Amino acid sequence: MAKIVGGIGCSHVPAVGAASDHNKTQSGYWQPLFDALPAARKWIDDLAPDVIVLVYNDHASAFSMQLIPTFAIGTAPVFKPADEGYGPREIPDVYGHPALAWHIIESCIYDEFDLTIANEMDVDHGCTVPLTVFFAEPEAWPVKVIPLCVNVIQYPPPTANRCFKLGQAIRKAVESFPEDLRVVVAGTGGMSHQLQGERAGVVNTEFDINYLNNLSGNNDINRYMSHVEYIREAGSEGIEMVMWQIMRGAMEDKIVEKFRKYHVASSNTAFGIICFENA
Amino acid sequence: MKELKIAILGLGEAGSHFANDLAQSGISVSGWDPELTKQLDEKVIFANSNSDAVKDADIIFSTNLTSVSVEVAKEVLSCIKPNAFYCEMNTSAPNVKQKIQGILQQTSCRMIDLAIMAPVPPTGIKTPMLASGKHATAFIEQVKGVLEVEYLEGKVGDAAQHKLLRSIVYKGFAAVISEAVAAGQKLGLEGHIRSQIHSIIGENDALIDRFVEGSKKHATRRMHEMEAVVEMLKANELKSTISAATVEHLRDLQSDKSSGSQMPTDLSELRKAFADIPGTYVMTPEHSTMGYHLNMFCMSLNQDKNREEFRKDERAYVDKYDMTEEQKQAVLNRGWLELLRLGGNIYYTFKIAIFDRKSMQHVGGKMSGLTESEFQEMMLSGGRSIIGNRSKQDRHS
Repeated sequence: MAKIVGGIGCSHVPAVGAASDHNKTQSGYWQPLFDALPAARKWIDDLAPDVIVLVYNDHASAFSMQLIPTFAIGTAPVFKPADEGYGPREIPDVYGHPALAWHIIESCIYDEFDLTIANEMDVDHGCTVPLTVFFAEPEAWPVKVIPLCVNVIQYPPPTANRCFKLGQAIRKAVESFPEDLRVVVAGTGGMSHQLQGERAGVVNTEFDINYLNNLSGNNDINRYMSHVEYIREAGSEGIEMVMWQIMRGAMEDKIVEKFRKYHVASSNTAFGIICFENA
Repeated sequence: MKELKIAILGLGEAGSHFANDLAQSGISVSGWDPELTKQLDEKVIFANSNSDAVKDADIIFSTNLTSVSVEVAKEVLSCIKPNAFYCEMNTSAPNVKQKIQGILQQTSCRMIDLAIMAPVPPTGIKTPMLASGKHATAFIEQVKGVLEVEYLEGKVGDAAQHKLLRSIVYKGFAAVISEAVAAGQKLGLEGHIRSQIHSIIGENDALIDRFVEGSKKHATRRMHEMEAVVEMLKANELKSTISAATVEHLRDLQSDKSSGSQMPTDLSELRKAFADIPGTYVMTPEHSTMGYHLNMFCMSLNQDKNREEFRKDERAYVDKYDMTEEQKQAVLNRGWLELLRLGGNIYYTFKIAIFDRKSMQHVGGKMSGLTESEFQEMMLSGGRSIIGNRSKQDRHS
């Protein structure tokens, strides 16, 4: 049977992808962040996942205002990096796992979680920057990826609690898949940042650190936090952190932290990555 | 006392207050915390690790979370100076404090069970404390005039026991009052229940309110304290029915506190709450209805052929979209804030910046009255502070 072997929360700052793509990881600006990553990459390598369910949001790339699915899951065998206006990132294509994706769809919908099915979808930096963080610059990504795209731009996005419950449904689905697969669930986005308006540039380190600390022992605080509080405290784009709750819901109650890095600033954003295994 | 060196392990609410007060009174303070979020006085030396912080210290305050206190003691074991005082100040059960004493016995340091007996913020380092353990009198002599410590005859664990025994009454009583007042409010009998409570504690509504608000405000900390009480009672084979119920009461308050506005029954209240966040344009249904065509224009710039067409003649290209003239002007003038005010969303409007080869810092600066380099500088020094930026009503919060 398949099982969930790890959970990751990780920012998906586009500039982190650009730094990697343009060989700037050893510049003074980026070195403190990139030098911390080998330990996380080793943890992932040792964990040897076959599939990552990668939770992210599309930033007006595959979806526009024309159609806004709250939760959309990709079933394609391969996903192309999206053109976000610069031309697509020059990175490997992202290979999916159609059988597991369809199994999650069936299991979740019978569990009354009505996912939108995306048979074709380009993946933007929300999906591909975490892959760069996890695996650096390989010839091909060493895992299959099931992209799970969440609307966090148009209000209302799903609540943090709804995200948590979707994570629980995904765990049930994965654990009932007959093939022996090692699955990691990654919730991406955040941490505190605001791109827009007169308040652009907001970072709230105290909030972020509490959020990281609370994930293992006290996650109810994160899970039941309102949208207003997320955006007031973590900035309008800090709302992305509701997606980390899908990862948290997919993990067991008791988890052990294996790695963490928090860094301000990467572009306009407080960057955070945290790795967990079930206790 | 002035020539003494103090190390503080754990710079949370209590630890940071103690560190700052001691440093301001001229005492040499080093401290460490793996996740520092509190502001430290510039005289406090922030060490590289727990072990680094303790290496020259005559007195060590362990103000960590109970859950890590044992690990911290093991970690610093080999670095403690001979005869230093090691003050275990967590709200731990007596057996946890004794466990730490057992660990420290390998060294010549002197372990003190130092219980903090009142909330720290109002009085800081002068907060009343209670000390037990065989070195307690020597410790009190050493810190005279700086700390307010009462002596309790007995072993390590006894001060903790005194504190936790008291908590059964204070925290339990607060839970009873809170539950009764909430019930009174719901049933329209608040006056009645308050007069019943007056018959026990005197006619003091302010005290009742303090019980109710205190439980809510400090729910998390008190929950952990009452968990330690339950642990202590169980270790002594005593019943813990009421204390365990108090833990559950505090757990409920803690999640109520964080789920306050999870399910808005009145959507207009939600709109008001969004509108109260300064300098922020939330993409509500009204906002996206207003901005639909503007955002779809921006979206079109994802395609190379559209970018070419826009480059050739911006005006002609924007005219192909059903935008208002105001919106078209905002596009042509790169009015970044105006675009948001007219229904744009930053992920869409940023497509125009990508087209212009401008960075998010450039746009962020334009929206907030900074140059690109000023904006970058602000981000490098930790970003725009949340303080004063939470609410339009209260710019100081």
